[in-house]
Amino acid sequence: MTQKDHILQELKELNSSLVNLSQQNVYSVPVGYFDRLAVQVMKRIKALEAIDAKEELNHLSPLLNSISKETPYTVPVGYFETLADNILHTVRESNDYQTAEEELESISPLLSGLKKDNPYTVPAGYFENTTEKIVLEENKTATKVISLSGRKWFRYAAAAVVTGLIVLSGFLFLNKNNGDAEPGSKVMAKITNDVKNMDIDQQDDLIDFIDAGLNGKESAQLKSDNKSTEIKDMLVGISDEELNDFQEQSEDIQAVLLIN
Amino acid sequence: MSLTPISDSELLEQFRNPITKEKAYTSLIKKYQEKLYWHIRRMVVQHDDANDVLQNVLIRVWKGLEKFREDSQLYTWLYRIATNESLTYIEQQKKKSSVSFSDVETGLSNKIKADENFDANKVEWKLQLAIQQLPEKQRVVFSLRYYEEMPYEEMSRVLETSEGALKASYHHAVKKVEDYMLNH
Repeated sequence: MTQKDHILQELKELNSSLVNLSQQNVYSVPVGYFDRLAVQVMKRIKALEAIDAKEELNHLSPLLNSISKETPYTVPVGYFETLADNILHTVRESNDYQTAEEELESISPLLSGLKKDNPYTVPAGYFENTTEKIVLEENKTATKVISLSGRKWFRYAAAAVVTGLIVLSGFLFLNKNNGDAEPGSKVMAKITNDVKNMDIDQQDDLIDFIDAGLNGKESAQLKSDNKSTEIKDMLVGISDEELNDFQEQSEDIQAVLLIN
Repeated sequence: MSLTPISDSELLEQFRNPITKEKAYTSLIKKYQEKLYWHIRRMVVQHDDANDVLQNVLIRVWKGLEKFREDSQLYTWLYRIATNESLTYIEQQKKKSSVSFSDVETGLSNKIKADENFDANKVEWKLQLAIQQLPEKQRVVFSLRYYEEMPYEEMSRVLETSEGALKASYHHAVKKVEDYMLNH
């Protein structure tokens, strides 16, 4: 029993009227359709893979690709030359068209009524020399001086200075009566140890603090306004005399570190 | 002295300034008028109809350009407006004459034949007749790809249709147009 027989049998069991219908195909296919199908599909595949519209059309239809694309329609003489003006005229005639002045008047009659004269004045000859001034300013900015030689080395030295001063001061005070001849050496050892235990952020803070104190010129030329403000906050309540003493002591210790 | 055409971003910037708005608008029209016109004309055939549609397009551009978000190219946006206005116009013509769509196509073919310069023997005229046999959206796809050589990616943004669907539509359109030209 073939598959067809099985299906017919099934229809009979279902009492379907389809059993008696003819299986003739009522649809027609264009002559030669299947003969051309493979070629058509190949053309489309090549067209899909084309890099541009020209190549694509060449694959799909060499005939269309070969004829001129010039549209045979004509346009009235001068049409494009006058189109923009005609459209603008139409726009201006429309109900919702407004000039800039009309728009301002509708939004704010007050502002619209104000004169647009500029009340500000400018020093005489300001704009004549503007270009030169800009060039000078740029040159000034270009000569920014930042002393960064041996910064990595100096990082530890600077941090050591501050820590050392604090410890040294305390040590000197405590050992004043004992007449300790050389408190510095013990202090330096402690300073070195303390610096080694600091993290990078703490060392940076110490360096910034030392920079502000050790070299006033450098801090003045640096653009870091934020650091200057922070340093000022840190130095609130400390007198100038104390700062000068600190600076002198720091320079001495720095000299010692440099030699050693 | 050669004139460098103004860029779209400069046009938009100038348009948004009330002082230079009209000047920018005029420059925009001069830059795109022919491309838009011919795109519309191939859809609606007659000059008077194309002129009506083009003017509608340019008025819409005036009203909408300030809010243009620049998330697509300016010309993509312009083409989208022109295409939609053309299709709307054709739809209105259909309703006015209360005829079936195929009669609208015949109507457009008759308009082509009514052109004073029409010559049935010339292949360029035959091509126009062939194009009018296409369904309206397929006609747009064919026109944009065949005449403008618009990339499918751009066309997809103009027509808000997938690239795959556009490719299939174009390939079918080319086949139909070629068949018409070979058989007429």
